[in-house]
Amino acid sequence: MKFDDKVPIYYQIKQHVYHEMMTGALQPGAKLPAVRQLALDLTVNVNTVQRALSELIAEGTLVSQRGKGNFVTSDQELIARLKETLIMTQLAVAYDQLHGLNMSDDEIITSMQRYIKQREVQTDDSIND
Amino acid sequence: MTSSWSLFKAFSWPRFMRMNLLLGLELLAVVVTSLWTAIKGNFTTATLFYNLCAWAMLPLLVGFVMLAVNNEKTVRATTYRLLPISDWKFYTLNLTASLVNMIYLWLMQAILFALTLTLGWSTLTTGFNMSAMFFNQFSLSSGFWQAIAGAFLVIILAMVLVWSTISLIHFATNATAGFLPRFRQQFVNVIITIVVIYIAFRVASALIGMVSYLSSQLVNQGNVSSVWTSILVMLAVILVEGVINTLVLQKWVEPTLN
Amino acid sequence: MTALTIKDLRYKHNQHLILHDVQLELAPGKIIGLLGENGAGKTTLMRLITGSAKGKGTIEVNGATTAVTRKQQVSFTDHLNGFNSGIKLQQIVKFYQSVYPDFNSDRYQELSTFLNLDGQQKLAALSKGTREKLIIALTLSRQVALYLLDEPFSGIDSMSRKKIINSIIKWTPDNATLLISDHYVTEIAPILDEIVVVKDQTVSVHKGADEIRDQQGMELEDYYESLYAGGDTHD
Repeated sequence: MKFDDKVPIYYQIKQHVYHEMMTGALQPGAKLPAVRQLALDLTVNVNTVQRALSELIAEGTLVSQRGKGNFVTSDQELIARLKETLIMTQLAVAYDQLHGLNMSDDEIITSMQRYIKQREVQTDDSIND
Repeated sequence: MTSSWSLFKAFSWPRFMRMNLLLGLELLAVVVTSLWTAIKGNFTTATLFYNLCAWAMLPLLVGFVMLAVNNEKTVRATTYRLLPISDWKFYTLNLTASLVNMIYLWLMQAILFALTLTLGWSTLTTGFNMSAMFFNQFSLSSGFWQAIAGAFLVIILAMVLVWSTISLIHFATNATAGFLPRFRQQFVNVIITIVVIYIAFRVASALIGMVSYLSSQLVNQGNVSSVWTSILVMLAVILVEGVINTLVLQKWVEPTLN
Repeated sequence: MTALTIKDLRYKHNQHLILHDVQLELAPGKIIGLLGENGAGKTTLMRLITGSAKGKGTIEVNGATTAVTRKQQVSFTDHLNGFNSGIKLQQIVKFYQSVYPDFNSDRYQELSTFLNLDGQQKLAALSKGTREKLIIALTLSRQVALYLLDEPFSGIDSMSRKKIINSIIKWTPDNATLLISDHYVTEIAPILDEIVVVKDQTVSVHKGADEIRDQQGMELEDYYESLYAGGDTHD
């Protein structure tokens, strides 16, 4: 994993865990590797991993079981909420940038629809190739 | 803490290997020159002894210088100066390791002499009845053995004295880097070197006087007890230099940069 | 107890002031980058901590203040210049085992396997990268409170660098502090908890790495360079 050195690394590790959960690489209830192993996998400091994990545990995304390790939560409701938050965060970025181009909300919606159609056509083409 | 015994072994081992290398080269030289004698057709049982006599001083001299260099290198090597052991132990062990190796070198020479002497005994005694008489005359007297022991001690102490004097110059000229700008440091170092060498010469001349006195005593079968007082004086100088060296080492002598 | 406390440290060599008024406190269990230009005094600072350089002021490592007791608590990347070039790696390891009571042979075995070190090889035959790996393996095999790695990445290839960084992550003991000097921040930035910058003959900055990213929104590299920006104002 490559880090953006402008952003605190513990924050990027949290994002990385969210991402893995959304893609299914980390299933609900799955056990995370030990802290030092994670540090090694990500080539980061052990304390930084510890900080990221502590925050994830505090917010309930991970569940720490004493002596056993850290597990991804099985709370479906929490996972759904997390997904919602992530979607909102991504959309917020796109929205803010488009808004910055002086586009109205309606314009943004129509452009987005047009864009999605275009992408569908493109993917169809690439499948046909 | 590093144990003294471990450090002594660590200091001694590479030096021991070098001493053996010297002995190996010496043996090679003796064998080659003896072969040469044999080719010329002059080989007798005493040839090995004669050739050993011719070569023996060289490894002793080279060994002495090598160990002196080794002493000083060790003090300036970060590898050793990082070790958790007090400076006086470090200094003493360094010197002791060299001394033990030097004694080993002398001992091996003595064994080589004894071996070649036994081998060539008949030739030598028929050739030189004089020497046999010389040995017979003294071998039983206590004065002879006292003189031998005294001479051996004087040689050992003289070597340690030279080594610790070299260290004194080395440490002192190093310590000045802490106080003086580079140019003045070089100037002061020249003065230090001259002064210490002058003192060393005075001590050396006293030593030579002692050795000649000793040999005269040996020949005259007289009392050599006054040699022991001189030995004590040397020992005292070594101790004083040791104390100064340890202090300077601890306070100012830095190992070289990596 | 702090891993390292330095108070009013001052060091001169040949009447040149190298470091002055150095104050520094390092907490246990951190990895800290010691940054600064070439010749800024990073190596000197490390040598002062190990007791190799003789300065004025107090240096305390894990409670130990005298040079001898400090040496028990500090493991420094010595460049092995005290050995003959013909010596084999396993002989060097034997030396370390015999003179450092805290040397952990099992750890060394793990490290040497991980770093592909061959005990039969001779010191003089090692490439720069392999030699640096050996030095790291020896340094990390001691069990101490403070590890000092002096420019472990200078002039070595990126594969060796990665291996060394991974060894640091894997084998630095939990409560030990590791000070690692370098003049490129970027290559070690992800593993640092804090940075310490030596500039103008003293420790001029000591900050948390994520603190810089969080508050300044800056890369460590940029932050580090910003310290030198418009920097011809020598006072």
